[in-house]
Amino acid sequence: MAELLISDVRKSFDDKQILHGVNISIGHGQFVVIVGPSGCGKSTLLRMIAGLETITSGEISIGGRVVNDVNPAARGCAMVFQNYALYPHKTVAENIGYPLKIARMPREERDQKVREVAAALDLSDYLGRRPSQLSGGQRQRVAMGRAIVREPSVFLFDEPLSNLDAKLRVQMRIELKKLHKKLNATSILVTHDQVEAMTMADKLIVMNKGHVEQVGSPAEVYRRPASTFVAAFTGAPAMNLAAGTVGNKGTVALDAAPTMPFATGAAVGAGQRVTVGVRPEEIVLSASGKGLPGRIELIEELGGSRIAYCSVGSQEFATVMPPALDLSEGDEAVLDLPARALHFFDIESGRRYDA
Amino acid sequence: MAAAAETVEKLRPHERALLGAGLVAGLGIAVLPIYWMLLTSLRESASVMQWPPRLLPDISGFSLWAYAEVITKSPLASWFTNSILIATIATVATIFISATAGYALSRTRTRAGLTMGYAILVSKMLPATLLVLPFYIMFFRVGLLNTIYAPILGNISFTVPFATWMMKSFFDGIPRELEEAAVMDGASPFRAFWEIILPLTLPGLAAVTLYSFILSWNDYVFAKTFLAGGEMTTLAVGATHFLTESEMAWNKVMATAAMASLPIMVIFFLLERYFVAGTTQGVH
Repeated sequence: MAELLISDVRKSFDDKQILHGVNISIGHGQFVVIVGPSGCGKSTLLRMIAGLETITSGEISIGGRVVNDVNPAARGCAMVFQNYALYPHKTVAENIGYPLKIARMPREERDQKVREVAAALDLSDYLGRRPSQLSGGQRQRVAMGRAIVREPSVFLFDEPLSNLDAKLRVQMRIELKKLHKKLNATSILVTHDQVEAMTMADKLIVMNKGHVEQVGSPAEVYRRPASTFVAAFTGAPAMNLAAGTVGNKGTVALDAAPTMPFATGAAVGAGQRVTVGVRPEEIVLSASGKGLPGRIELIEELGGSRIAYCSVGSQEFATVMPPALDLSEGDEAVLDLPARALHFFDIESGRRYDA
Repeated sequence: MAAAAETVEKLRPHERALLGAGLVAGLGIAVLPIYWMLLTSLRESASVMQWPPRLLPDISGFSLWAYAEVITKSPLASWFTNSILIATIATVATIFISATAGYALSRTRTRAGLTMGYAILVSKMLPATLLVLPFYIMFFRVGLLNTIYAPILGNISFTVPFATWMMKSFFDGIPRELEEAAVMDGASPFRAFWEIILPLTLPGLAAVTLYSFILSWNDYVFAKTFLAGGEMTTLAVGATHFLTESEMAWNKVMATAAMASLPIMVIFFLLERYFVAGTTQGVH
């Protein structure tokens, strides 16, 4: 199975530059998720790997071989499209068997292979049906079957779960991961859903406006976001970000509460303007005690937990309410931001200050 | 169809009566010329131009004389052959050109491609009578006058622009992802077009076939101008051969017209199911 190398890849459409020098290395058998907001260039990058878009500059290598000018079918990739792209006038069996028909596999061998793949995907009872007679989940499995049957080096998934309802999405997420383990295939999945990204990836690539913001495991990206963009993009609710100034003696004061500095725990120079980040679950919310004074504006009940949105001056913080805390909307509260939980970012560039 | 039936069911009785009356009136207007054509073709010469005209005929006065005269005493077979050849060749050429050009127009991302598309559409606005003279000169120069190729080429120039835009709109409705999936599966771009995309445009192809065939079959201007006449002409022009200085045999004209309608009806019935299939076939 292949290793994939993307070296300083750039892409422009007419005069508009979509990708600005992307560098990514993907090892054999990894499940890589490229996540980012709409328009960040993730789908374009995936299509360039597939060979459906030309590469303006840079190189893409699969298995040590530069594939810039290689036909899509000859790159050893198979793709599952967002809308599945099943051939509507062909049956499920014909859809799955189409790549083998093109490859001139003898009919009997082809039929056997189609039956095997269909059995693995629980589609054996549907081989004679047309895509319009299938549910969304079934269509997605047919699309996966059509990819699997080619035994590719790299599987490419373009937002495969976005057309499914919430419950089915969770189910298919698990099935995709199981399939990945079973086939031990290198897989690249593109999504805008950060929950999908976090739960599925071995390696996460966060993209924004044609740049790679951060590459790392989901845990790394979550615990040490490389920029305010990554910090705000990951987590539900996202990380709280507030402007502040680093004072003397290792403290920082937020613009929203300038007279109440707290310990930083990080080596940032005094007088520096920073963006302070803290995850909602790290803030200690209480009725009284040590911390910034605030007011609970809104409480979201999630069943297993509650999210309180508190205002500290003009700044809003999302916090996870301790189960025992008996406070309601409109009540005064105290927010303790522990030093160990703080993240510091340059206020201009948004890049992380490494401790 | 089910949706339309539901809409009708929701109308009140007097609204339904009005709708029915409108349909009958519309049907009457559409069917009347055909009815009159058949009626006239079955009349004796003396009763053809009677005044006042009788809508409900005297069946005992019916006669197949006009049909017999046309079949036995005029080059009907020759007219039929020319019409069939001209319409068929023009239609096949139109399908080929409009399908491939329509696909290219649909998938082009360049400004040059789009400009070409609009240029094709603008050419459709030119009437046949304007094109006849320059065509005549061109065909004369290359020696195509008085051959079936002259009206064939004339008809193609007429049917292709609109047919191309019709096919383009069908291709626009098919997601690009389908041919991309086929290419990923190993198909060449042409194979993807032929095996995956084109079969999904059968209703469009049926519409283009019917449009092109009818236009070419009924063409009068090009056939009259580029063909000598007599045996070397088409049914549309040949029918008017019976209107001369010595006789105005409208019954023969109508008999010719009635026989000329048959191939169109056959083609329509053959293609009808593709029109229906187009409304029910889903792409996603």
